[in-house]
Amino acid sequence: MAFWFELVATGLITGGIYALVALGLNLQYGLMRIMNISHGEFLMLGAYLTWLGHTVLQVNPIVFLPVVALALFTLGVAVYWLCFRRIIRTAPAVEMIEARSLLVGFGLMFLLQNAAYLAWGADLRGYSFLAEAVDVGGARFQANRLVVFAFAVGASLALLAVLRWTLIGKAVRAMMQSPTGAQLVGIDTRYLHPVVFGLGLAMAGVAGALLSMVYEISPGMGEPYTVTALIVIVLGGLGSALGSLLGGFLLGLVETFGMHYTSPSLKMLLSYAVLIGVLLARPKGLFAR
Amino acid sequence: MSAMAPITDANPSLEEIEARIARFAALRPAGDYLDAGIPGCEPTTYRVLGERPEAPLAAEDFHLNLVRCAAGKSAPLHNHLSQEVSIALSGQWEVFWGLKGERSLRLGPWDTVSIPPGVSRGFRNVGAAEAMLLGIAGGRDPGRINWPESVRAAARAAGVALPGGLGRRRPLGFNCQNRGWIVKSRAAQESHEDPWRPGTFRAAQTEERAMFRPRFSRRAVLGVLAAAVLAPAFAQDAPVRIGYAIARTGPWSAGAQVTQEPNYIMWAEQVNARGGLDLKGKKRKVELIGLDDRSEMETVVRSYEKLMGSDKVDLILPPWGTGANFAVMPLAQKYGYPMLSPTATGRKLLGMKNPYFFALLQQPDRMMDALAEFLAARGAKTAAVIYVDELFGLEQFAGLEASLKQKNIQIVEKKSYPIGVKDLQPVLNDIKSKNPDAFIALSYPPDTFLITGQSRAIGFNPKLFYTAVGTAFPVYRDKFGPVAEGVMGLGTWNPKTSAATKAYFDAHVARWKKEPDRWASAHAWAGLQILEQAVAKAGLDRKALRDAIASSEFDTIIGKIRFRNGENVSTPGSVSQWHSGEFEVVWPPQKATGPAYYPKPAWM
Repeated sequence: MAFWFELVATGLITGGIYALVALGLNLQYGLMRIMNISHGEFLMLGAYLTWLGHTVLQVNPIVFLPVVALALFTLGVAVYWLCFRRIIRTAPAVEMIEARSLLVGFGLMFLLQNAAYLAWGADLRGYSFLAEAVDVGGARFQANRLVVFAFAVGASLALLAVLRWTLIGKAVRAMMQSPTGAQLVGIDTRYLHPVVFGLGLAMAGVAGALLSMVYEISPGMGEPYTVTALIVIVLGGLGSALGSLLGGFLLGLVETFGMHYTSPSLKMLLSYAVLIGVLLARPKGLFAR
Repeated sequence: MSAMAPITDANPSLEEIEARIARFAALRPAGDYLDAGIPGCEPTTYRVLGERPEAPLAAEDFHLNLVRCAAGKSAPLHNHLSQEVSIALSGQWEVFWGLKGERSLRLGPWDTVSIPPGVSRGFRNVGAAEAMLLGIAGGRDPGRINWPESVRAAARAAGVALPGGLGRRRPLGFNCQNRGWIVKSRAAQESHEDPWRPGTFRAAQTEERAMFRPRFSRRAVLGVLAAAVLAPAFAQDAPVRIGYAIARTGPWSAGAQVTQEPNYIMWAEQVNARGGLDLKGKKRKVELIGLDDRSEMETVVRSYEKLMGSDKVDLILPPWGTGANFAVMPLAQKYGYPMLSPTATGRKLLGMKNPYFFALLQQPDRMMDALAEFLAARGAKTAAVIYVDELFGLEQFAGLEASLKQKNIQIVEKKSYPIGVKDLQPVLNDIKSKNPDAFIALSYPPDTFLITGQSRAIGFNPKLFYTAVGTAFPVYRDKFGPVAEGVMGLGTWNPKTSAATKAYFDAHVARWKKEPDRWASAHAWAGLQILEQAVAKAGLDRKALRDAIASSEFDTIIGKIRFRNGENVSTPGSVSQWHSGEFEVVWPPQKATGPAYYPKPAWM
């Protein structure tokens, strides 16, 4: 029993990390159709900020989270005004936003990655924070992973609640369904759009900050996370906060059980098999409306 | 490859070729070299090849002038956009250069000097009689002549107007290269030296950066370069061009930038500071041509193809990692470039029997033999192994399996994993439940950290805990601190090994503000030492160089090295372990720098 509990818990924790990574992109791509392929790079930026804060200023990484979130939010609004505003305005259809923002995203990706190489070099960086083991029901986990898990669940549920039950959440959903319609009923998309985009980057930054406690960081760390995030939000259904949380969990559990029963080397195979399976059964994702 | 000149059926008539001959008797002194009016200079210049109609023949690929000077007269300091070659046709000449012409050398009849763009140069007839000099400036457009301030001052004093760079009547583009050089020369003058040809592409970059960074003393950097130029710059040949591609970005860069490229750059700087690379007694500067391979196999191959095939560099240095070296090996053989690889290990590579490939690291079986010997000596009976799904992991695992079998140590679990995995807790839990004496992870850098952290979290503390690549990196100790105590890994050396390793370590820390890794960094340095010793013996004839490397024994910081069939057969396999902040070599006993923990202490 304890053994099963441990296996399931490990899977959920890994899944939580995946869900966390997907959170910010889900806001941008899921809700706004901005295919921000540089998502992982902003995550990397959050990770480096936290690492700098911890190693240079000796600030507790958790205390530093709001700073990272604010910094990335500001950056996000700026990036929106510089790069994406025109795309959104001039795109004749939502599909065009996807295609055009993809190109801009690639540009940002190279820019940020190479800026990080210039600034910090290619060396692996890392620090130890909450690396101690915590006993949970007889199983032991690193405390920092539990923090990441808790944050992922909390943030996903909070996002879910905001989108479903608050006026602003409804406005965001309306904006996605029909930008013109949203404007007609008095939603000021000029402000709402950049704010939601900025929140997406803030989420990416916070995810990076949390991940820097768990993993080593390097300027090239972002790309695999972008891929993971895409799998998770497609799996869960675009724009669905609950979907991406559960999608992350599903992926984590499949990997953990797969690792136990087969070999870790088959991890990618299993993840993609799940993705393909879900897409065959439910082409719009698990929780698409 | 350059194309061969084609044989065509062009067959010009006598008249046509006569039109392409400039008879000396018909040459008239050029009246538009304004600097000729400066007293004491007064050269007579005959244009031969240049812009028509001032010159009788059109400059198709270069400009050519004849200069006649009476005894003691000169052509003053000036600049061109392109290379200028001058040949003393008669008499005794002095070529002088520098902003004030403070340096000079003698040229006798038929001696040739080649002046690079950007250097202010002049010529003086120092013989007793009138003498002739031939001057050739490369390119269809050598640019408008420019004069340094000392010449301009002399011209002003003599009432000769030297317009802002308007030497010829026809302005021919601005000489922008001069600017960069003059800025540098001024900086150099402060240390009374002349940093001609800053050693390397990267060295030049870092030098420039250093100038903006106060904590890095400009004087110190120039000082290094200073010693490089004690010999007169123009008495030397062109630099020895050494090319390589290595990861500056992408997943390989973490390893490449710790272990390999910093050594290349530091070596080139040190060689140039010593006056250059010794080629059978003749010294020539080193110029590194380093490319970023972006951690892509295709880019690695394409870059080396370019370096060896079309750039035709004099020597190459290898890329980072077993896989990339494996990909470049056939090219090195095709073009005949010896390759001394510090980060390639695997019997598969040596099995190619490539005569130009030399592996500096201990082969997997040697490293794993050493580990198995250590385990057997301590009475271990069981081991569990995980290994990364890459050529490196597979090779090491094959070696380990054989070594353990030989020592009758049973493998109770073996699993492979993909590089960059985010979670290995389920696997580590399984292994923990089997309670092996030894846990051996043949891992790559990011995973080495994951495995250590998660093993500690689940309280998996076998008697021997071994992780492979990355364990010897300083960042491992920096991240884990006291937690690293007792962790074993691949390592060859540390600053305590010898006075030579201490000197290397100190130089590395001084140059890069970071420590080298305790395994392959020293092998990378040893490879450069071998290259240096071999070219001193064999020069740049690459076949002879290869033979010299293959047949000699070399002194390096990791001891004497001799190759047999491309394998370093002198450096024994070894095991290292973290002890209070140092990665101590603990096996074999004759190489040990400290005692070993066995069993490993509990995780801190």
